[in-house]
Amino acid sequence: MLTTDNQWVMDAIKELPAIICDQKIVDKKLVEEADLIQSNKDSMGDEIGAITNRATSMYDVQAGFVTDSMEYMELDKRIKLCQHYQQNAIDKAKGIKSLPMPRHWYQYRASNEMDKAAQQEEDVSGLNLRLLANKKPYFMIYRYAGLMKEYKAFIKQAEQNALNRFGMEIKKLILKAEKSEEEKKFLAQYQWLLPVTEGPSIMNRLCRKIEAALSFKPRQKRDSGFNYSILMSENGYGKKAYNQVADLYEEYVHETQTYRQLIKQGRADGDADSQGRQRQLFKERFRQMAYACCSNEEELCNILVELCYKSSRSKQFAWDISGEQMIRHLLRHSGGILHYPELDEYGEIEFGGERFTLRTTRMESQGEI
Amino acid sequence: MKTVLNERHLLKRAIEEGYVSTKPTDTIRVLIKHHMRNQLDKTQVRQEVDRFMASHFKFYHPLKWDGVIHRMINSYGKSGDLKLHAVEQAGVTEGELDAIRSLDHVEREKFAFSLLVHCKIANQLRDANANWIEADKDVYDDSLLVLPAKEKRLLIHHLAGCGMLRLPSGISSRKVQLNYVDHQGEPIIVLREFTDFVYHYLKWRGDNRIIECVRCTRLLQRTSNRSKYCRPCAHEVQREQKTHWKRSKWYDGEN
Ligand SMILES: [Zn+2]
Repeated sequence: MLTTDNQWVMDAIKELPAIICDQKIVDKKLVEEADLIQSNKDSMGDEIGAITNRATSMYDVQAGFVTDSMEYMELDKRIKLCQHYQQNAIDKAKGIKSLPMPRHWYQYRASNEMDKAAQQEEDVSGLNLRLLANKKPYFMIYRYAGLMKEYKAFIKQAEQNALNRFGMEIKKLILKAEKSEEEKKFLAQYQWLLPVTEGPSIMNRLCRKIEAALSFKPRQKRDSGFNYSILMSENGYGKKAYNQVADLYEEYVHETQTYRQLIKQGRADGDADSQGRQRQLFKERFRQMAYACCSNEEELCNILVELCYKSSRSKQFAWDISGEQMIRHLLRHSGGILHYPELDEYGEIEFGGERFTLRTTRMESQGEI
Repeated sequence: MKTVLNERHLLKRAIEEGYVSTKPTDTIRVLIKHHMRNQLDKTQVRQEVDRFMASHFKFYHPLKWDGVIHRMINSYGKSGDLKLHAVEQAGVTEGELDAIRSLDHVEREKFAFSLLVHCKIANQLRDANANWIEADKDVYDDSLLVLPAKEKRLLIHHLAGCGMLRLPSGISSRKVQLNYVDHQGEPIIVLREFTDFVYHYLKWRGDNRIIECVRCTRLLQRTSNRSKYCRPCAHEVQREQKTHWKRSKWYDGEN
């Protein structure tokens, strides 16, 4: 049970006479296995969900007509009757014979035949086809993955074909002032074959609003503006050593990627514990190789920072090999002053559900940390 | 190029190794032809294909493939084109090259050339094909285009505007029909190998950056004075060097 006093929900409620389901009743009997089997068979291919969806589709078609128009009223009647057909579908499982929803409400062929027959009598040509609810409304692509796939594939190819034939996107083509016969035909075909209805029903409009609110621009190229020279000393580095370490960096990236792949495929050896030890060994191996390229700790650190920080690639290599040296450089640039957050109930900084205050301290010797 | 050029070879691999191609319909197609040639009726062909796929294709889902296989069997039953094709080469004539050159826009020309080669292959694979071709990703990839995506999407529009392509009226078809195929002329470019084949066009066009690979004589486009390998060879060489370097590094590290 769900209760609410939310004004929006309250306002949306239509006051209608209560529904009394005119239920057909079956004679009481002792249920035997054969009855259960029959009941299962009768409720196979349960129509209840499908009927609900068709009613939702009708709302979308209805939103395309003026309120109180003949089309609007007819759809209003059909939507109300959907409750009746739902009751029928439920009854079906109990073995009660009842009428299913008329096919011409949701099936093209039946609808077309209906119209042809009607045309001879009165002048409401094509009424059933206009009211036909044979597609799901747009917003349902988020509910049915298959529909989403079908919709996207259709749009992609239709867009390409619009470009091929008219040199413009469908959106532009729709807005174009004077359309040629061919363009009109193309757009009609587009609307007809579109796997969903894009009518202005409330759900579709809400859906578009949410899409607009959630749409994010593609991630900008990151230029954090971080001045990485504070991680380096003033003494620079030699070109030859730089190239050697650069080669090593490629090797590091390659091996890390291979290892990640192994883990992903579940082919890496051992448990998390031994994987941690392997990581230590891996780090140590590269440390040794790096010092073999350049034995001066300060110069090596400068090379590593330059190498890792000039691009957006992983910085882990630099921190693995020369993390402590980078901290030393940072301290040297700050004159030994270190700011650090400390746990504090009344602190101004909130992080991970705790509060912190920024404290300052002076490192006695710049050589150690 | 991802098109299967040798159906006989594909069939052999299917039968001998149980190999299923990256596009499984290729394998299914040759199996259907093979069994139909052996006078099996539709139901029997169906069973054979089903059996093969079930035992060799791990993603096989009989229900999902049912419609596809059914349609394929019907279409080959009707057309009777059961030949197992093997494309050895594709020739391009002077008339075709001139038509392409008249576009006077190197990227559009490259695309037109790629379409043409794909079309010539499609014509060999399906006897009744009247210069229709799917302008799919493969065609674009083989064009080695240097174009922003926005202009790539307008290539077909430009070619159609010049009368070189006919477009279908359907809204969801990727096919185009080429109007510049010359069935009479003598070929002056003959392709027997289809990796980066668009370089043959650029060479004909007079691009002096097109040179031969020192390892395999395939064509490549020189980007610096050091370029000497075609793309496949360059990968090979790079891998060899890497292994070599890694080995020496490894020993250094152990000292
Ligand atoms: Zn080569």
